[in-house]
Amino acid sequence: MTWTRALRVSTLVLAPVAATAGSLYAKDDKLITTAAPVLVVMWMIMASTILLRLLHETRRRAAVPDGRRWPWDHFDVLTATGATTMWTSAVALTIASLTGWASVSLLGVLGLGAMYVVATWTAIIAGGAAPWQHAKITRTIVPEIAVEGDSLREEIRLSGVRIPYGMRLFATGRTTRHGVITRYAVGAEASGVELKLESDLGGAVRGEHQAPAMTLWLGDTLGLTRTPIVRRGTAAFTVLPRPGVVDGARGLLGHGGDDAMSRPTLRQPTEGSFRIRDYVPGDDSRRIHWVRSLQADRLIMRLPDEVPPADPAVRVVLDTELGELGELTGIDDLTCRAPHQLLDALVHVWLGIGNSLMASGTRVTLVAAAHQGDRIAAVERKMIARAPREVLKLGARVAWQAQVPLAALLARSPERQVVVSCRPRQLAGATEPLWVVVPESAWTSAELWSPMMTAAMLPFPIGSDENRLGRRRRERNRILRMKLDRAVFSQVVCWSDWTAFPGNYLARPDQGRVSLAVI
Amino acid sequence: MTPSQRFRLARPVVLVYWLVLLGGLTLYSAGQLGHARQLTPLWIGAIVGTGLGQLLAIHNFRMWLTTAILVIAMYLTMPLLSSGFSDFTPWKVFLPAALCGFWSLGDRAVLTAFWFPVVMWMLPVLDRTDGKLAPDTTGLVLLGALALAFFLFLRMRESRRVGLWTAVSAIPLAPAKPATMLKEAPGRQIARAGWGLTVTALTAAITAWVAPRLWHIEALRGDEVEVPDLTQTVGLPCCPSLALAETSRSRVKEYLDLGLGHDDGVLPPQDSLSCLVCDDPIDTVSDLPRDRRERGQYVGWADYTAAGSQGAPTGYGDRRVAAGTTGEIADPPDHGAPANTYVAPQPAPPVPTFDPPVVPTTPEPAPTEPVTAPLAPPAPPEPPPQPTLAEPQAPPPAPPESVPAPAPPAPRQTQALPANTGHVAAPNAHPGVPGAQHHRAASPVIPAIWPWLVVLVSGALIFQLVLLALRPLRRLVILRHLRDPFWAETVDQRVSNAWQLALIGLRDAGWRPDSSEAPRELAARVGVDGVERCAVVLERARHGLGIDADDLSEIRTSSLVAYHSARGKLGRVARAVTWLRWPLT
Repeated sequence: MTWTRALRVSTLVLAPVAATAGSLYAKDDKLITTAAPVLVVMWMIMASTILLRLLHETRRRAAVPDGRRWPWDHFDVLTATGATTMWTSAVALTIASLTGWASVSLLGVLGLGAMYVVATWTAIIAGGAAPWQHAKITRTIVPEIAVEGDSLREEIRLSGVRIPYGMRLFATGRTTRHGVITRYAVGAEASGVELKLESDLGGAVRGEHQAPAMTLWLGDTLGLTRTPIVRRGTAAFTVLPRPGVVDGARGLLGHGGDDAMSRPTLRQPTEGSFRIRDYVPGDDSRRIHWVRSLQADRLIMRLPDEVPPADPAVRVVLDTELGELGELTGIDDLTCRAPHQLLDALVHVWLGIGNSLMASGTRVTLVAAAHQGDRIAAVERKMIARAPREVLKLGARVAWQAQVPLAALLARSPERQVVVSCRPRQLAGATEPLWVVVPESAWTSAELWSPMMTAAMLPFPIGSDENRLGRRRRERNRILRMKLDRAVFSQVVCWSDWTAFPGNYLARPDQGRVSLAVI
Repeated sequence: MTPSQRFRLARPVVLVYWLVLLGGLTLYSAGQLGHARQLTPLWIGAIVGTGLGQLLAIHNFRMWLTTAILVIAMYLTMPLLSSGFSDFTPWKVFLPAALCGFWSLGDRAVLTAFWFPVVMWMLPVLDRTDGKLAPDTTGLVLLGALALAFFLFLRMRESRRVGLWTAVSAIPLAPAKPATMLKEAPGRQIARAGWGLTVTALTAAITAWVAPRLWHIEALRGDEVEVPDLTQTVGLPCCPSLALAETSRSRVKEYLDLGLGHDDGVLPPQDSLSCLVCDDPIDTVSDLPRDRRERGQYVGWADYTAAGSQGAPTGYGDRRVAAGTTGEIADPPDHGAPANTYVAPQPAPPVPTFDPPVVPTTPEPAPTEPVTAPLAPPAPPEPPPQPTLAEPQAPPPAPPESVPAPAPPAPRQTQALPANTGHVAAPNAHPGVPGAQHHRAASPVIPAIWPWLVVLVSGALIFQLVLLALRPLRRLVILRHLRDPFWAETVDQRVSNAWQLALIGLRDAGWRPDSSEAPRELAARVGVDGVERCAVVLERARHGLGIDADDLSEIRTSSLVAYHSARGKLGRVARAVTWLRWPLT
């Protein structure tokens, strides 16, 4: 139990006690003898209902092995506004006892009375699991399979949720770790109905996403009380990467030109008549040049002299290794967005190079470490122009990993190998590949906007929850930590001095395209 | 969040707050129509303060800066106080009005923000308490209305908070689209409205019951009436000249020392000494020669006259000195009264004594039975302007013969006033200010408004009831037209009519079409007989495919089937309620 929750729970008891103490101190007999019994009776009704609800939940949870035996959250019925209202009422009653001002006494009774009535109502009607007993909450991300940058939409279908009168249903969730937050508030008119809630999530971010369950709770329409939260409605969706358009990918093949050397074959469906020789036993009789044979009076054979140029084969490897020394271990715990942006950029360039080489007639094999079932393994996919789906799915599954080292992804074959990485490095015992460096500084953006904090103005519109001191402090700490993580990440990535790899390539964004330049 | 969004969200809260505030001001002012000049500072302070506070709030000023601005504003306008623009009332109203206006748009200070409107409402409510702890019926109605307004304000404020919650966040928020109702449970609106009324009524009842028990009565110094002056000076006083006696006044304590007091009666005289028949009693200190006034001595004999005994009070702190008295004039010890008070020296041996009459403590016209005969006939009857307080007339003067001395008087209530009531009493004691008015004077004004309010509310209610009663008729006509048009219509229109008929049936059963949903998708979702066939024909018509007579006949039949089968799933009560539903689709 956090201290804020403890404070809210204790308000149920401490605020009325404070009002009583204040009245006793002021020796206000009227409050003690006339008003206090009424307020005490109302408080006892409220406390009894909350306690009964608590006991009921304890019994219910005891039957379910969910590991939480003591439902503290059912004590926590007050919102921040409700707790403040109770304290304000207590102070008002004390002031009324001291000064006798009628307006203050009225305000105190009005506040406490409203709190007791609403809290009792919430505990009786909206507490427990009853509102969610027949609830069916379906959450989908539309489209379920999208391409990076496409606009996504969240659809939530609620049916069977019982929203008692005077209550509102609140729902909030987040689809991705650094994505936008969705928030919904529905009134009691949606009780028991079938309802569709929608939000625009904006541009899709690459990956196979499993959106965590949404957080739902009920709050009264006066904003004084709330029910414990429940979590429902997970969603899964896939965002395929969008391959970049790479300029200068041809240069990755070098100037040697594999297509410059023809390779003669003995049996080919096509043949010419420039190269001839005498018959050798075993030759294909179909290649006998009969005109020349008649002229020379011996058998002359035609040799195939039009051999199609050889397709160069290239393996394009994606380096997602966290580092041999573990320097990037824990990257998933970083709160900044840069690691995800950098990985997306790596995949973007990786697929873009593959696409460009394939378009120029090169046989491209994409290699990456990705999830296969419950483990991470090296996965190879040949790029086929007519069927890019498999490669894109592989790109969606890619994540930072520490299980498969880069050396394991590199083949021993003499094929050309291009490694797309953010950290070029010397690889022991492996053929030195051609590096395409994706610099972190060029592909990641600054961290999240932080609201203008001035001493004179509130950062958010007045009345917003976000202005609360605790939230502002939490948000400030979050941003500070994010910036700190970002600094750590940049330092770690920049350990590799890619200028020490002359002759390799550097990938930079250039007006929506990827530009390759020689280091 | 754009400024227009911010204003749009704040508008209902501001509107309700101003309605409550202006309602309280208006109700209070309705009882003080004769003193518009004295109401002006109150209105100015309340309106300017609230407006400024909300303006600063809507522009997201922090609390400390708002307070600083308010203090500076008060400091800069202080010269108006010395220039005689007004007393301290506008400033006393301005500061809480501004702070509460600022908090009205805040997050958690909702109860504090509502304090200032409550103060405004309490003024007319407390005017109806008769100086006791229970308001009359109108006061109770006002308390109930105030509780209702409090709930309305809470609700509006929470709606704004929810609006901000869905629109403002430190982490980027996804723009939400309006919720789409796909299927609703019919007949829940009535129960929903009932909940709000129940909770409001419950809290209003508790408040009206409990809150008055916490009120404190404060005793005030009321107006002054003329009574025989029996103050002993050197020797016996003249019998009986005129003196001013204070009426006791009480009211429920409140932050603003405005509003009406409630007179309980005339306080007993300070002493009960005998008096001496004088020849030339002097009514007021001002009538004394200057040197005598300064010395505080006057010796003389004059004929006693009781003239002016029913006149209006001459003013706060104005004391009269009886003729034939000697003594010193000193400043009054209490209330900060501007006039002097006569301090009697050692009494002289009584010669002819006079037993002062018992001053009536209730505004009954007839005085209590005098112990002695009057010295002179009472003043000719003059219709008093305010019968309740003008009637404590000066009793007839006592005869010259001595009478037994009365019992010692009760201590003056004004001496028991708490220290902070010195200023509180001041406005009430001044003639002409609102506080100086009596309770009865305000009574006819507010009730004069009630009949009009009742007529207005009743008229609005009856109008709504008539509209409600006409709904089944409108529905009947529309359904008849959709089934069988009253006039010739195109084929496409008749197809559309049939589809609308099916939709009405579906809506009765709670199904609502989604705007992005094709007719056949809706048919698949609802699973009601006839809808699928209707959707097929409708889509054909929409795509411009030919519709023949069979199709038209089919969709008419199918729509009727859909209408009846959808409604067939409802109970009798729910079916009956659907006849009151509007709009139909």
